[in-house]
Amino acid sequence: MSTPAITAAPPSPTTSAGQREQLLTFFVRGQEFGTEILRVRELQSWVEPTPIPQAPNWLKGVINLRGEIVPIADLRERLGFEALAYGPLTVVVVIRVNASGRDRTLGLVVDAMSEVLTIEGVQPAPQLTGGDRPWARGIARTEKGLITLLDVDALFADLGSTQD
Amino acid sequence: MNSTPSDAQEALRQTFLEDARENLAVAEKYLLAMDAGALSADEIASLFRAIHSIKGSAGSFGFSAVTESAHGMESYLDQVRSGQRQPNHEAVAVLLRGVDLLKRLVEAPEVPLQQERAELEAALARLDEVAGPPWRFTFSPPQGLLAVGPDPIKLLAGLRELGDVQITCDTSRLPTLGTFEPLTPYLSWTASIPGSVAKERIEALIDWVDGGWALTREEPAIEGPSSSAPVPSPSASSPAPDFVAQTIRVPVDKLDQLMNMVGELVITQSMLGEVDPARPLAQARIAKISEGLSQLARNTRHLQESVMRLRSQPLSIVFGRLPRTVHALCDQLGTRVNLQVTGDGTELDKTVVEKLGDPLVHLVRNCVDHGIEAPADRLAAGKPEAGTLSISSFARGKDVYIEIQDDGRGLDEAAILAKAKDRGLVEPEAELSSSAIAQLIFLPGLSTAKEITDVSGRGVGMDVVRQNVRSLGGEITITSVPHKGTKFTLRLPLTLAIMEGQLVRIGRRLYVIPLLSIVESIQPDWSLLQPCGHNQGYRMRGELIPVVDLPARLERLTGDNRHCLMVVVETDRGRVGLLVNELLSQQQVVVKSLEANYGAVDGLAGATILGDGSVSLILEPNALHDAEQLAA
Repeated sequence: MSTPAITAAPPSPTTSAGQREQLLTFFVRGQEFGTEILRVRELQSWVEPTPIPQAPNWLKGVINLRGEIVPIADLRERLGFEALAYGPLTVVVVIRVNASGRDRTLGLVVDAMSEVLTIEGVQPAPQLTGGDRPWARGIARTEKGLITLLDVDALFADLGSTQD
Repeated sequence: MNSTPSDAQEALRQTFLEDARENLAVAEKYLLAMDAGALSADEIASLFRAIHSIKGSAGSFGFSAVTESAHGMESYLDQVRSGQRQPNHEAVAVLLRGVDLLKRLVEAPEVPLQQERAELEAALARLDEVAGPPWRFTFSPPQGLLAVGPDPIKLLAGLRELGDVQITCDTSRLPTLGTFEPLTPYLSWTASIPGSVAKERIEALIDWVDGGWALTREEPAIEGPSSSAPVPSPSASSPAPDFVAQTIRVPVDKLDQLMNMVGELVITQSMLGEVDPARPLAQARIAKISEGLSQLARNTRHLQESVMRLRSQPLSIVFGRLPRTVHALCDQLGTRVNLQVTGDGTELDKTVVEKLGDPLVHLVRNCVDHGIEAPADRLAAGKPEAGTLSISSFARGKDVYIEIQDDGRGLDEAAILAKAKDRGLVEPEAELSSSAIAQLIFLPGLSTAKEITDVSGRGVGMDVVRQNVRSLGGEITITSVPHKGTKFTLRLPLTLAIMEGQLVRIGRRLYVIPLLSIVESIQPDWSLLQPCGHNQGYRMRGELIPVVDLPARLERLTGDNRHCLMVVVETDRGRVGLLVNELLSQQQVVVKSLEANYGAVDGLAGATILGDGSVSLILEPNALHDAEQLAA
């Protein structure tokens, strides 16, 4: 994995300064997102899942992960972006999500993987126009640009309870 | 403390919890039996062991509140065990309260429940006053004690706090005032302490005194209490071997079976291993391989069965809770009920047994609260004063049945029908058979204010019970005869893990229909299809059965379904025709939970993994049927 050649953002008073965190980052619609590395169980290449009736459109179905039935969610569509055809670079990040008070395993479809990096201090996400984004845990600034930290627990809090 | 307990700690805690729950259930069972009549020595020993085990394991987990409360009960039971006392009704009530308290402590060790624990201790202490040979404590302070500092008066005051303690003072050695030496102890005391006070409570008060005292039972005929001191010790009464047996919850014969299977598997493996892949396959060796493979298939099947048996647990675990429920309800309602439990040795999958508790308690509450009449009403109706509630279970085929039957007043069918019509659950002009009316009580929204009492109200309706039972892959039905009683029948699968499935193709995907629910599969004659509400119905041997267009419903295929086959399934509400594109093989499927990582999906019982590793969804005909009716 790539070494964390990224300088940490200067700690601002509003951050948990000095708190080092390892992130796994990936791209969705050209934008870099990150999630805590400790959540990540494994990476998978895309396999066609079995669709679930009445599921929301971002839930692509379920796959067999060594005997366990794991739902697959398209991060693009979950974030409200337009769907993209899946290709050879499409990666499924299998993560642990706490939804409805229970740990679950969820596959997250992203456009492409980026890297593993260590950051120091996360700034709270600025409130952008167009309403709040409870799923953005914060922003990490790196040499390359900004990384949005996903709060996947918030993003998938309703996993399995929403039906379209 | 660590803010986040590690997984290992959590796992240990789970083990403790399971253990404690089981032991508490055992204790409760025996206490209730004790209330009804004397227990055998073995049973008393089991009761003691249950509490002792809880104390022991709570101690090793550092749950001191549990340890302390269990300790008080254990001390009492120890005296019961050694024959020093006969527990009366009041004693059983106190011990049951103790079990309840332990339950709360065990489930949430972080809530200290100080007051409740103190009350239990006081109640146990009061029991002690009633019976048990008293302790005789003699104390002549040794020379020099007063110079060291401890004050004998404080000790005596401490003794008084143990309960009704009689202290007499021997002043015969007091000298005349002229020769009185202030630091010489002249006085000695004799105290009579209620026999029920635990020995170590007394000892805790006095063991700082170096000699000069003695603690004995007043009646020397009783076996020396020191041998049964409840502190875990290597004494003869410490049930160490049984303790180990209790924490292993798999009977040894089941493990032996499993070992045998594995042994056979190893033999088969070596048989197949003899086949040298480097040499060309001669006919003889092909025969050998195929023999080995068929043996392997047999081994696998047996192994599967054995492992399934490991998961099975007797229903007594849940049935054991019911006498308590009935007991408490009768007290509260002033009714009298004889509870008859049969077949509690029937075994079911662990998951099913664990999740069956709440629905069963609810059904029993319902029978006692709504079914069985007050004693006066019963006498007036020519019935015995005490109602009978019988709970029985038996295995039949691949299902286990549980029947809960009361001899009460039965359902008020007119009221139920009126209510259902009032809520729009039934068409106003509908004529329903009495069995159809009875099933209405399982519909959501039928529970009304009139039915809500603090006994069975609680916001849980029969619809929730049915939902719980269905989530276990089972079904519940009710039959009722006015003035004769009500009977609930639960049908549950022996195991949730594996079932016989019919593979079907719907659109381009494979689904599984539980084979047990399938009545027949037919090539429908489309001229018999006719509208039925908003849906289609199919006229089959004079009966109009609803048709569920699965290709449309599951795969959103709305095209021509004339090439479809129809699988007729039996549901709890009658037959339904399911349209599928193709019938494939019948096979055993391993049922996997969709809820573990996702959630419950209406119409699905779970998922399974096919031979090629892909996931196939298992349909739940009952839920499909309901959804179809809701849409109607």
